[in-house]
Amino acid sequence: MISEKDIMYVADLAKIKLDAAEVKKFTSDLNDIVEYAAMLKEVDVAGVEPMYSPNLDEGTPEREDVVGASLTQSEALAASKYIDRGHFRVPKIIEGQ
Amino acid sequence: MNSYEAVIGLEVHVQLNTAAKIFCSCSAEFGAEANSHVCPVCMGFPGTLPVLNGAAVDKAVQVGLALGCEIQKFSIFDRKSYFYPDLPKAYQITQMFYPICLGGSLNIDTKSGSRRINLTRIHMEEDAGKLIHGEGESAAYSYVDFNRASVPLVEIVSEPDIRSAEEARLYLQKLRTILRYINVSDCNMEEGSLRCDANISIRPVGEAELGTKVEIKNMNSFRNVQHAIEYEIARQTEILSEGGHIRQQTRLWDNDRGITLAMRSKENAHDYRYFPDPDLFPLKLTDEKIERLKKTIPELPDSRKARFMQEYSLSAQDADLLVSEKDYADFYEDALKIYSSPKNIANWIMSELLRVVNQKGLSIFNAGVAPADIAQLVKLIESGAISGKQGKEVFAEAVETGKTPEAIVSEKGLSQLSDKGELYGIVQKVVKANPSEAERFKSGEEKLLGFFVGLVIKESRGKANPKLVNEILKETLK
Repeated sequence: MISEKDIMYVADLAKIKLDAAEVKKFTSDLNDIVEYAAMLKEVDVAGVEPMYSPNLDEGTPEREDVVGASLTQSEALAASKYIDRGHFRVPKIIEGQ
Repeated sequence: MNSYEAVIGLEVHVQLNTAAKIFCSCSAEFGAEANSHVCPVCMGFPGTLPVLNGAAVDKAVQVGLALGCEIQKFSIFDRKSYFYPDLPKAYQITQMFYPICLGGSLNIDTKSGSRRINLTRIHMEEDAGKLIHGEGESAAYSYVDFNRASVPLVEIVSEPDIRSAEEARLYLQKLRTILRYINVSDCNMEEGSLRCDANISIRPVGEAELGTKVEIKNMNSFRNVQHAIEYEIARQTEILSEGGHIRQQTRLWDNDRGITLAMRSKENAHDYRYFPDPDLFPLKLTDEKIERLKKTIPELPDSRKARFMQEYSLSAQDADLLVSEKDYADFYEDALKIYSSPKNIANWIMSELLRVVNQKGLSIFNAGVAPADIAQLVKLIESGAISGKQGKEVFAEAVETGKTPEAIVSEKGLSQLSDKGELYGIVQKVVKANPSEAERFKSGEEKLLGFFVGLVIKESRGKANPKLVNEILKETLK
């Protein structure tokens, strides 16, 4: 069972603010989802390798180590409102203080 | 008071020196204009897909081979989720559950002998962007540059086998040497292409159980690593000696103050919700590929050192210095191929050439003299054509002008004075001018020989052949 505490914890990890009504709603929604997925538990998977990927036969394709075109600085910054001297500007967050 | 021993494991991040980033074709070069090596993939725009750079895989495998790891023919990329402004996708692509290399080890030479430090694993991942924190008027802001985002990294995780701050530094230096031998990274700690975090705990000597560990970050030089760990061991020892408890936490090294400081950390800050990245298939390696990469691994520093000591009769210390960079060892052996005088060529490289290399901050092959020049110079001195002192002049001139030693010797008319008659004349003159020293020598004060040799060489303006001067002086002063 997913508790309201779980929902608040996950919301906090995802930096999402939820009000009390939303916490209730998502607790109920998420429980429905988990319950539905729990049907899979009925399948006996003893001795079956986990499927880590939909394609286990081929490896992931690899690219040559060749430099291609990048965006220009102004293109890169174009979608942001908060830019300063070629950088994205964000509220200061210092890990560790 | 109990005595404690430290238990240290290191996590080292190494930027691989590919041309392009790990999942897109932006340049991975350091030092470009901010946000100019970026694209929708490395900036995490919706709808983009990562495509793995094959050269990053090759280099990761080379690291594993050079460190004796078991290369995994099947590995998986996972998403490590966290929110931080330098991470545009809000997750880092890394390898959590199935890394590309397991095991491995490297040897360090401590004062009490060689020690083997085992590795846990090596995995591939992408780097994050760079944050610059504003000051003064901009103190409320941080500034983000995504050029570094998605530059390829390997993280090399050691077992908790390290027992002192010095061993930690030796481990890092050895790791750097090996990685530079196989040319996968320039391993520049100041520029951040080699970064190190340390997990440190202490326990009473003889205790098998591990103490509570503290993670130290932000050490950006070999010296800092040693100082930070020394500080942290002392801090933990003091707490335990006073009956206190160590809190599990992450601390930052403050280099200006020479202390570690606790990071403010939220209780749930480290729940990364790892899961396999559905955008990337598993990474599969064939035996053929691993074999091909095995052939690219050159002779590594440990075996090269042993060979230098055996083949060239070098001391451990000299061999250490010469193998500390692959270029040094290559230069040395290139010179030996031209003129085989292992000890003298080693001495010229170590005392004269490396001084120039360090002063100018150049690579040894670009310092102005080629291996053939050093070989020629040593040959000129050994054959008695010029004196050692003249050799130094010739060397300086060669570095300056790029001319060969032979050309300089003939241009300057340098030659060693080996004419016995002429030397005899100078010796007579010097002895006559210093009668009381001559008497003291004759009555047994033999250390005055050096005094006379010096005067004769000075009188000859550095040209006198010291060996002959010695002989003639001994005869004259008998």
